[in-house]
Amino acid sequence: MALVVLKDIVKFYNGRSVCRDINLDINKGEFFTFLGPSGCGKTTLLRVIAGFIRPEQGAVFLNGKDITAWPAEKRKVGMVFQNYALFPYMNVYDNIAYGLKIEKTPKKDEEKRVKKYLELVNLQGYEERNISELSGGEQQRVALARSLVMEPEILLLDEPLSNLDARLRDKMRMELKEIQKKLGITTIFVTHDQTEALTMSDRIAVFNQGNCIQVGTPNEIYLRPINSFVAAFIGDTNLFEGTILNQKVTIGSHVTLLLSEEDEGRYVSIRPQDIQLHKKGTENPNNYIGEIQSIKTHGLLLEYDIKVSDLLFKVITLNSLTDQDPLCVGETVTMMIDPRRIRVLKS
Amino acid sequence: MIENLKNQKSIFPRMILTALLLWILVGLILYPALKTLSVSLLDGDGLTFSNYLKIIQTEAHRMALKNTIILGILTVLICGIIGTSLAFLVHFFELPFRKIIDKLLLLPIVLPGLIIVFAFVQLYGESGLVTKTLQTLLGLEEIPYHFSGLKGILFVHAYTQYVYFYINVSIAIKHIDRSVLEAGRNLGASKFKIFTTVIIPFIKPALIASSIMTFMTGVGSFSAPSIIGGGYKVMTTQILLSKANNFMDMAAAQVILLTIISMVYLGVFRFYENKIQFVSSVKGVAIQLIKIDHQMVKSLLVIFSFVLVMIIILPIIAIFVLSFVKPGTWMIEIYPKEFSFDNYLKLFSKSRVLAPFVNSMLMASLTALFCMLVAIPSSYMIVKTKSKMKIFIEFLVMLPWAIPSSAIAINMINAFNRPSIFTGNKILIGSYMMLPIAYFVSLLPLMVRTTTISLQNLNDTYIEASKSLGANVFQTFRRVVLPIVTPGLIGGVMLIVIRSIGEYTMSVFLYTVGNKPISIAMVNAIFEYDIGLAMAYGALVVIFAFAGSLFIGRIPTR
Repeated sequence: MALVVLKDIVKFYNGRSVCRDINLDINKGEFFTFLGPSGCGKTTLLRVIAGFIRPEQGAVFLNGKDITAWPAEKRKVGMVFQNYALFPYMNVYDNIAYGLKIEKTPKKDEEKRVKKYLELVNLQGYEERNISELSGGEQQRVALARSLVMEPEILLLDEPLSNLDARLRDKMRMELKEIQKKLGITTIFVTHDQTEALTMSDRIAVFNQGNCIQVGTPNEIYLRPINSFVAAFIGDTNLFEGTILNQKVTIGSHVTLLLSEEDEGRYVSIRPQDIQLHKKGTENPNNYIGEIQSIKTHGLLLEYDIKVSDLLFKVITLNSLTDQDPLCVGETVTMMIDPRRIRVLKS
Repeated sequence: MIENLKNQKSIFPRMILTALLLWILVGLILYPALKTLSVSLLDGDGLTFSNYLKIIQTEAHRMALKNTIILGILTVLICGIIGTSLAFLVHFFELPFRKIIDKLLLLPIVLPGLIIVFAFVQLYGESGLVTKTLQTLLGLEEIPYHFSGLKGILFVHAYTQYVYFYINVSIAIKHIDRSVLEAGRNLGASKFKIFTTVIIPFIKPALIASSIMTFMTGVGSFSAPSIIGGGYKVMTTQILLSKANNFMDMAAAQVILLTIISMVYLGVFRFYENKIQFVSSVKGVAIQLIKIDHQMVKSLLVIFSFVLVMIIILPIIAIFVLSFVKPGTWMIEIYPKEFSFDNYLKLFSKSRVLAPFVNSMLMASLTALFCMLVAIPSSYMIVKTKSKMKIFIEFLVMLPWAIPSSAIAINMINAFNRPSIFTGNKILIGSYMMLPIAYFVSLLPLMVRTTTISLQNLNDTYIEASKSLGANVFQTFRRVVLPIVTPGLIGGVMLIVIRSIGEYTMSVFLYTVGNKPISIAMVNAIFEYDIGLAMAYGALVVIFAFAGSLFIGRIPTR
């Protein structure tokens, strides 16, 4: 049995349902991410697991035991809060030792464990510092150490990186993942940032409006989104509503693309990197001539907006030195779309 | 180059302004305090400690000293318990009608102590309305309780001063971060442990700050001890006695001791406050109010809230109702029976009767004006400049905060009962301006705090933004500086007017026939058994206090 099992979780807030029949299994040692836009119910679900919220229906199992009715303080589930929630009137040592003191751990043991976890998060010698003297990143580490020192069975992380600046966020992302791997601790991570989710997770659950839409590995989610929401939310995509007939899809008023197989659905999604651009293209059913409306340089990548009759396509190519003349705004180009790269979506 | 020229040009007026400010502050605050010190220590032959020795050796003086400290401590404890529990009740639980109760609980802060004392005497005194009602209802031979001495003073203090705790603790509760509470639970802390390890540390700075305020007000309290204290003698009443008997050296020594008591408490607890003070760096999530599900508890709380509201508004109602009692009709009956507008007619038709009211209004306005004129440049220097005089100015403007009102009055007498260089060789004692100046000295710290907060809100980037958008100095001042600073200033001015309009303690020491304030007129009316007229005076003050308080968004209490 999985370490954490969520069974038919339903939660209402002021008559509005924020979790609708959520069923999830989270395995031991897994880095599992709840991903979704704000207000999708992911944080609520995390708080249900932590025990701060009691669901209206359904049950939470930890190690096969039904803990739905257990108070938060009895669950021994570690949690790192979005704003870290450090005790502002205690120094670093007292913050980390808080839980151990509540448990009445012998003083020697307490000191040893605090020291061990301070080292783990790279904050040796910070014991006496006040919380207000720490940077955001350091506070984050203290919060992490404070949870880990209790050696919980699972670690819950509620958007822990959202209060850090971009560069620090990248660094902490890697450190967090490293610590998780080293300890092998089962981790549930809540975020609205797809990059965080894709780079860190073993598995991702995508949420929208209280529903769990899709569960899978980062690649499954990215390459085989189950519907238009997942396709658009994770990574950039060209999403069009279309009519499918005889293995062909018509989008807009003039564009008809050949599909690789007979399929049914309402939408097609084409990732921007799956469209190829050529200055002079050949005749082919999936080739269309368009006009370059704008070019954005990302450094590694180039992003084009290309107008084909009444449709606008986003195309991304690698940005490297070539002998060819670069494409310019206003030029016409041929877009080539491989039928195997077109994903048909039912909803 | 041009910048340099500009700076040189602006240094001269600033120096003059600083010198003027220092002249006023030293002359009206520091010099009088030092003068009292010297009066207490010097006699014709030089240095002497005889006054202090007398206080220590005389039983009555020792008693007053002890009583004062006991009164201060008990006031802190009682107000702490009442104010803190009420703050939790209203801001931690889902109490029915909590918004209205919150507003009502703030009422007593704008009411002058003297008026509360008289309202309480009319309600709970020997022949008070509540006392007699209870006696009749319970069928007792004698009245059920005696409202005098320490008990009575504490009752009044509880009513007038729980607000300090209530406001500060309420703010502290609102600043508790919900995530921190949850972090505690997540780490295994029980509800009790959460209370002791999270909630208490969060509200501790507020408790300390309120206790300082309450202690200093408690030991400096004069109205309650002088009117209902009876045999319970405290320093403030002894000081008046010494002054009345013209033992100015003794009064000076008592003032110095009272000031020391006040300052020691302030110093010790300020030190402790700074030690436990903390900054929360990341913005927290507001706590969720705890639901009360138990129907019995909920009903009990509703009843409790109702009784509480009654206790709070009863004195105010009493003042208004009794102000309509027909003169000479309420003598031996429990309840007044005949009502009329006579008291108000008398008040507004006889200029002799109206004069104290006019005086008080005028003096309150003058006080507010003086406060503004001194507080604005002081705050400006404290907040916006790096002047070397800054710390000295801050010390001077805040000094009166630690000096009880009766002490300020004695300081004024010692300093200005003869011509002084600070007053242009005039004797201030006996002059009309003496009272507004004394009010000004005692209320200056409050005004400076208000203006300082206002100026701190005036972030320099706003001014820079305005200039970058093409506004000139005048436009920037009118469209950016004024809108930001004005609400605080108006609030501050209103607070000063409210606090000075019903002032009693300093007035007793310093008033003359020419500037008799409304508080003295009220006391005189009471002694002439003209309770209706006294209450009409009180009603006027209450009306002005409430009207003024409407302008005050948030009342600073420290």
